[in-house]
Amino acid sequence: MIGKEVAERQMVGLSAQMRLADFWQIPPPSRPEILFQAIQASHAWHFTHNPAYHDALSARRVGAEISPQDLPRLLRPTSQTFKSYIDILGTPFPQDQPRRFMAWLIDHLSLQTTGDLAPGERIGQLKERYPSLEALLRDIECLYTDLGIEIITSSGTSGRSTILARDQQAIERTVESFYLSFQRYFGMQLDHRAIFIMPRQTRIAMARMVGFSLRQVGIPPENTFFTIPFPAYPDQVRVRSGRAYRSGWQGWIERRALNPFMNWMNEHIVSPQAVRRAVNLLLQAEADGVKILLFASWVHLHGVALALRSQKKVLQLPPGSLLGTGGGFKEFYPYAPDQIRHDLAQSVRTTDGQPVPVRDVYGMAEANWAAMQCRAGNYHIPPWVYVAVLDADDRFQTTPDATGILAFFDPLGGGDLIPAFYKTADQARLINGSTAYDPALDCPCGESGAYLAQASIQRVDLLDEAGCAAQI
Amino acid sequence: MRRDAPHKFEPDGCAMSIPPIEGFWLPQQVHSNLLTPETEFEERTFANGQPASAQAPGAVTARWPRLNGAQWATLLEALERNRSRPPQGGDFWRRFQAALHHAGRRLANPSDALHQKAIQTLPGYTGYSPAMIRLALRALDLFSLEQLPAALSFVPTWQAMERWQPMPGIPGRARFYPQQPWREIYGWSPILARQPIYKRSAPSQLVIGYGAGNVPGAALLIALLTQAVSLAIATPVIVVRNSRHEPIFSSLVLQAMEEADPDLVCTTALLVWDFEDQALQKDLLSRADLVIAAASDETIADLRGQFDAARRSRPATGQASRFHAHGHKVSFSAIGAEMLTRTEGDPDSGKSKMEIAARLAALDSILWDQNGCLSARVHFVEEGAEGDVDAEAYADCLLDQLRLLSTWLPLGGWQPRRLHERFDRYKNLERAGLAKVFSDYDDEFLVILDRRPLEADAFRQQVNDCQGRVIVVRPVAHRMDIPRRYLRMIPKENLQSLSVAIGEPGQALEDGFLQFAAECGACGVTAIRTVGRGAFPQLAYSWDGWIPRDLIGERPPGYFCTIEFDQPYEQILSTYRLMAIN
Repeated sequence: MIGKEVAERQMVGLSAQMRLADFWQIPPPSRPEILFQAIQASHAWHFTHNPAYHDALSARRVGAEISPQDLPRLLRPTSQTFKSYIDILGTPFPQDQPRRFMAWLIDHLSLQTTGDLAPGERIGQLKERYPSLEALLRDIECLYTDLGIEIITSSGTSGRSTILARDQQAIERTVESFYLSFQRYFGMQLDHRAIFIMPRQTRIAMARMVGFSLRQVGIPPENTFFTIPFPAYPDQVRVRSGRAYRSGWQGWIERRALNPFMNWMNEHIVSPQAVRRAVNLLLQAEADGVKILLFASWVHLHGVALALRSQKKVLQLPPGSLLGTGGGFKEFYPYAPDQIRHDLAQSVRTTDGQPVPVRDVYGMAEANWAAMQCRAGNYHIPPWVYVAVLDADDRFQTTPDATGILAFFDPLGGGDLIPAFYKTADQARLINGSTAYDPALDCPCGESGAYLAQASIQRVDLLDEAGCAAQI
Repeated sequence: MRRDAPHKFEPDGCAMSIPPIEGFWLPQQVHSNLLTPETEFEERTFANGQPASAQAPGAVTARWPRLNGAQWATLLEALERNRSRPPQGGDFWRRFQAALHHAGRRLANPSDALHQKAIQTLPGYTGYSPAMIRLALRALDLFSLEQLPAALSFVPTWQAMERWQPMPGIPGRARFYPQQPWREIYGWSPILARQPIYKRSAPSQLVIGYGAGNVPGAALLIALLTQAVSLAIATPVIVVRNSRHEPIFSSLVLQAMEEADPDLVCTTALLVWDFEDQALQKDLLSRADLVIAAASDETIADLRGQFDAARRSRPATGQASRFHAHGHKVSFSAIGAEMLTRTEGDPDSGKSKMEIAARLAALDSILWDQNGCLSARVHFVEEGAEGDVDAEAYADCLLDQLRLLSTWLPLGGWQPRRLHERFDRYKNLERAGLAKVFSDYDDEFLVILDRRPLEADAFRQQVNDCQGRVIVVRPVAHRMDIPRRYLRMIPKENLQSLSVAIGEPGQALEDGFLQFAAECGACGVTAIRTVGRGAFPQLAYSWDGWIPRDLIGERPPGYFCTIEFDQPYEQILSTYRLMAIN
């Protein structure tokens, strides 16, 4: 059996030895073995420090020591691991039961016991109730300042947010991971001007990390712009999505007044204003001859294209400029990404006459990394992430070109607070993942290593179900 | 039971390439006249129940013709001409039973070519295990037809709104739940209460059916029920849209019936066409007197819209046309306190009442891997004073029974991933002391005991979780809690069957049970049968609120709930002996 002390030594040694950027120097066939060792150490650490992880894996008959065959059993589903507070509390509103929520959160963290008041013992200092989720999360961050805990969420458009914590180490690793990918796959440098059609204040993981990472690249604050002037707190995101409301009169107000008002505001005031500001910044960048990164949802990117078209304006930006998106589709938005790309190509071009490239970013709240789309349209997985696809029997597919449920292990970038071993809710075609590598399948962009094939990512809950049984 | 290898449905262990199988059926003479070498065919290929390429291991391809407008007109004319051929009344009934018996015998015989064809194709195409398909092939006789003549002549009166009405010649009772609240006045007046609910309807000339899903036999059920109206009226033309997810089984049965007696099925066609083909849909639906749609709720809403539009567009004939919807449904099991005991229940096998109940309730849940509308999702267990064990002991016993049954009826192509996710989810609840998981990560099923009081949303979510062999055991203090606390949280239109393990030896339907059944019916339950028979609905009883009389008569909107037995314990025992495995 691996004891806590051994696990701690392994983890410390691992972190000291490995720098994420070094992985690009390692030939792809050699990466899996190195990553497996990192997974072993990371697993041992979390298994001995993280009660929820320990119990989940024990139930699957996995111990502290693992072999490569055990890897699929280490994966927990992103779709439920950090939403499981809803089951435990019996409500999707943690602010109603702050102490139970905090107990749940601590249960899911790999914490070292310190000399100060142990994390679990501080729970009693939280209030009985909070008026909003944001108020609760702020109080938690305040109460656990010494741990450097920051709470992040998923986009929460389902009305049921993933809520998880990162400590300073995890934040630093994530920022490092993002900025390395931005540099490598998007060619981001100091001389870019970054424009985000998103709020500066948000807990949504990807938006937060993209912002942090560009700062890390070295883009000065005066060259970074957020064009949505309002914060996006989790409560507001929930109400606006219209998928989950409070009960009683509060819910009535949310449903009948706030939701319609917020959507009206968004459609008629906030979004048009944000797009207008972005367009003005783009025009300024054109005039200044500065390269830009415009990062926004597909819908907002399309808004920019349409606004420019209505002004009969074709932007001429310096080569190296880039349009990026992390998804963000309204269910009823009538235009597909291809149409949006086409419209953008008409309005946003470089001075050498080419359309400014539009690149997508694939990521999720639980991942401290993102897969950036290259110029060939494929999504590159950072080489320090061990990625595989699972078949219907929850086993790894080991061919270099395989389609299945995407799973990943991020033993180095994932930090020490949460075991970053997940199976996602996405089906994808993975090339050169797992232990399989075929150089003939390397991406046409020239990058070697694992990637997700263009247009192959699909949410599995959108796939057909069989039978006549109802989903109520 | 760790899964060492995925199921690959290569019949009898041998990999082979199977030529495309006909996923449609037409009477022989119509087939040869209608289809020419120029006829276009559409093909679909599945392997292990998932869409696949024809080259995939274990792939099975089905095909069906894409008829053009002229071919459709020719088909409908040919079927209409054939309407003079089928016998009627008693002669029909005798020949119909003989033909069905012939088909059942062929399908059940492993050395018969028809059986072999079914076993070679159905597992790969649908994803259900070969053992499950073999069971279905052997079970054709379980769809008992003997009671159908009595069911068709059953004339319920408005008294059925107030109390359970016996059905002459058939065990059990029927009760009617009208959708129009003002109909209650029929209950106040003894004269009105004796009025029949149905009024005479002109015989159907054309019945259009829609079958969906991958549980074999939806299209067959529609075809057989509508053919059976020949007991009372002339056989209509019957055109059923087969499911692209399972077009094989119904075609094989009709093929066998035709061999035995071609006149019986000469007005029936089983085809696949697109719901989106608006011209064809409008043409068919405007001609139809009766539409029977077994499909998803979304498809049914769409079909009903098309049907209403088509009906408005056709010239007024004074003849009503009817639409029978069979949408997405959920079913449950109820285990009474009297069965929650270790006392001997079957003198032959020495098994306890609890073992018998658990075995049969397990069967109701695992047949068709819980993908069927009849599959029991939650087992409500009554922890009353009568039982000498609690729900935990029942869950333990259920676990043993599931382990036994799973070796006999292995899980098909359903993804263990979903089982694993639910296992993780409930293990998480177990850590918080909110539920208890009885099965292991590697079991091909999941058994959970959950005592949490749940709000409606959470209960519905739990019911949704129960697919692919996920069974939640939910204790109740009294059986009346089942309708009062739980079933009322399910939308009425989504409720279907309740399989019960209730009753003492020799006990008939007593008032307490009838009150319980009435409250379940009021919640939307349309069929109450004993455990073990969940997946074998009897055609004489209510199917989603429609009874056989609905095929030949008209009535106000509402639904029937039927109890399918008189002496529950005796029926449970006979089912147990039928299903006995060691």
